[in-house]
Amino acid sequence: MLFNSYAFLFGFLPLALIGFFGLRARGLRGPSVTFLMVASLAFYAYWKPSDTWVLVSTIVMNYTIARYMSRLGHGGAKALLILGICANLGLLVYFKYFDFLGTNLAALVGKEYVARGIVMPIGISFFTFTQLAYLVDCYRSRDYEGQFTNYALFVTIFPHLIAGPIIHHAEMRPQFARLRKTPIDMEMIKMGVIIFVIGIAKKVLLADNLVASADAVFNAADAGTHFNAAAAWTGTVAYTLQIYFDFSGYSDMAIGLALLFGLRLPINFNSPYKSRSIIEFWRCWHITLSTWLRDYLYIPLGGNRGGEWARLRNVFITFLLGGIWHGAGWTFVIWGALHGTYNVTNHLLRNKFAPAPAREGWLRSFIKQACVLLLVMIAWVFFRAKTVGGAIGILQSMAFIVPAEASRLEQADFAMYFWIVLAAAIALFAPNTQQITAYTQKTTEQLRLPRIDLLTSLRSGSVAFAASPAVAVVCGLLFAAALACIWRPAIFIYFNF
Amino acid sequence: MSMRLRNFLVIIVLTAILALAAMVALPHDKYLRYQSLNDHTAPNAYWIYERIHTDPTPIDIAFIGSSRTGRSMHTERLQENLAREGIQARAVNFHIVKTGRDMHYAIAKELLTNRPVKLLVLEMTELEDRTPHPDFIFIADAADVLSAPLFLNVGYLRNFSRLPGRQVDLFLETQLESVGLRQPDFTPPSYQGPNLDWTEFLQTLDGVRHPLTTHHSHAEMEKIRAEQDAAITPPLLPKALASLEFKVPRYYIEQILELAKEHNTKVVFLYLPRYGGPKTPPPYDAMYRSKVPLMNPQPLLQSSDIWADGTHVNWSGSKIVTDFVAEELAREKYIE
Repeated sequence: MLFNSYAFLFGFLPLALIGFFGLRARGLRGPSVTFLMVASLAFYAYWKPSDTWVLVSTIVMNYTIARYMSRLGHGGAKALLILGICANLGLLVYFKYFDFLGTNLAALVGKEYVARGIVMPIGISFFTFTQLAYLVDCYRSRDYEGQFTNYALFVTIFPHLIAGPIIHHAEMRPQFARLRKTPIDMEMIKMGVIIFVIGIAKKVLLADNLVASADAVFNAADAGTHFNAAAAWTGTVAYTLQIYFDFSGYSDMAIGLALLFGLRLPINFNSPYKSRSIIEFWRCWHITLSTWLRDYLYIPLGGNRGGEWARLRNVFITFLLGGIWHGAGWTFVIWGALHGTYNVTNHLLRNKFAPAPAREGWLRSFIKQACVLLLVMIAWVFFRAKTVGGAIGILQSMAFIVPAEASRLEQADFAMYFWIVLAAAIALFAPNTQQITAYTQKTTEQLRLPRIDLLTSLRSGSVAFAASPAVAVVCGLLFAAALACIWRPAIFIYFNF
Repeated sequence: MSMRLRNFLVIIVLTAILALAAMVALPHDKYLRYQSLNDHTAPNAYWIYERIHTDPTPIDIAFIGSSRTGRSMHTERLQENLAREGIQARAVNFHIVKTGRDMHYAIAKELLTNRPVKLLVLEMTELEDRTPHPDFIFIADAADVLSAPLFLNVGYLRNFSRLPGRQVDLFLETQLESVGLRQPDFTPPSYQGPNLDWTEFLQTLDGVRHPLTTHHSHAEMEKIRAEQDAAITPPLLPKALASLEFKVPRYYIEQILELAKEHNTKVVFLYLPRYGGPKTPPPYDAMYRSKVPLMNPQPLLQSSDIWADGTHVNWSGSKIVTDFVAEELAREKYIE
């Protein structure tokens, strides 16, 4: 069930909160954690009950491997780790890439491959990466999660289960322990409500209102339509904004929901479209995936240990594999390769030129930001298009290489441009969720909403404000607007990965 | 400055409720609402609005029902038949495809509150649909969506949840149209005249005319009937509890009958059975026999040649039904 659905908002979530806090009110804090795990499994099973066995069997398998790994010597533990990695990746490859590999390998040897039509269990990319990280961490630390319930909750906790943020056991373990011992800070719940409302507003009010513009261009381009430059740019800008508000909205909702249950999830987005370099962009976009790729792919590949060229090679491979992680298709391969190339170039340029001053002039800063956005948009064209031909067609149109009979965008109207301009203004100039709420993922720091009210905050030019009546009214208005729009079924883009 | 969690949540919930209520109250151009129901292979909702509000041609006889009515009644032929009997009356087919009595009520309300109608001919079938019409939310007034029966109405929550969004969309579209900035998803074709009959052919929005002359052999129709028999869910509850099971359709039929009474409009049911349907409609026998007259062409609809599919007659069948209705209207003096 989607976070932005009536079934979730008025069915699952209230029941989960009542069960969780009902048990805690009776002093049953431990059982409340178990309840949360069971509720999370029910949340997953709602999508497709028959897929739950994949999730549950990977949980049992990885828990068991980690447990035995801690008892073995170096060689045995390493063998078990490799076995675990192969088993996890094997499942992922089977469900996600089998048909893609089959088709391409068959084409390579000139044979025909009949696709098996394997349907990927939802969230498999995310729960596989979460558990792979756990195995590697256990191998490195020789420490493992003793309580099966805690491990199962770590993997399944419903706010992050389907599309992240990707979490680490070390981040969650102390939180689960605290959840079993201490009451939940009410400030966390207030912050959770605000962040959830921001997230649902981003998704439903912004991202979903951009879908039509992006789909109109990309779907037609995949079918062979050639658009004029204005239409191609409109579709690309719309998708650039759609994917940001869709995924960052989802991530905000996940963080907000976790806070309602007294848990903190890592931040996933930090105003990526304000970045002034590609390297900075990847520190702000899907942060938990970038971090995962750095820690579990780039560094094991050798990181920067083999000299400059080896480092650049590792950067490129990491982004290439990051692209492939998103899906089985050449468009994702090209997207990954493009970002790999961007990052390698960025590193080379950074080595060649002196570092930019901390406070740059606005023009220089603007040019850098515009270049980054342009490069990111070019890559998004491949990410969104279903076919390489469709993507190239759109890029040609964006470059004004258009045939005489190029189509204009029939659906273009005031509303379409209004949503694009509004979303762009928010993405480029507005403070992000953590700036507004002062949310931090560091569990060592206490979560406290800012203490200044909305009006004072606005007058002083600050972006953070307290949980005041004015903020509650704004949240109520945003929530109402979101509720009015969620009857349109709109899945999160990252649920496809 | 901070506040207690409970107060914070109460303000959010109250604000959201008030905001949603304000959205529901937003005004809009009702014609846009009727245009929004255009995603069918047989779109005619925009025309229904145009016929009621912009065409001064009288509406003496109004047919309201589902696609069965749409495919059975050729109103121009009916007018000609009645004229031969010396009755000058204008008939209009206000059917909307798919079943659901709430939709019939919405159309009847729009019609009767805006135009004088002498006779309302309401479709009757062998089994009332327990569920509301899936497109009621497109057409209905906000007040009718909110005041729909809640108990045992599987569509209530769906329609209720869609209402604020619909009202906002229609409000914004109305405002954009008033300043010339609206790019409609759907542009209705030029007015198609006082009679829009889809019995001989059906004209889709692309202007293509699809002839409705399909027919089947007896064996084929019997096979279709057997498939339908297997697919139909007969009344599930005992007769004593039928008022619960069929609460929603019965509620709306009563509303239509009351509305007609208020506006001095006579009501007659027209039985349009499926192929091989019962001789008289059980819902009529159960509830309305003593209240509302029934026109029953069932004995004339036995030949497999006159059926396009299991529930719709073809052009030949339509001529039979239309001629029968004309005769009945004249003979029983339902219209004079």
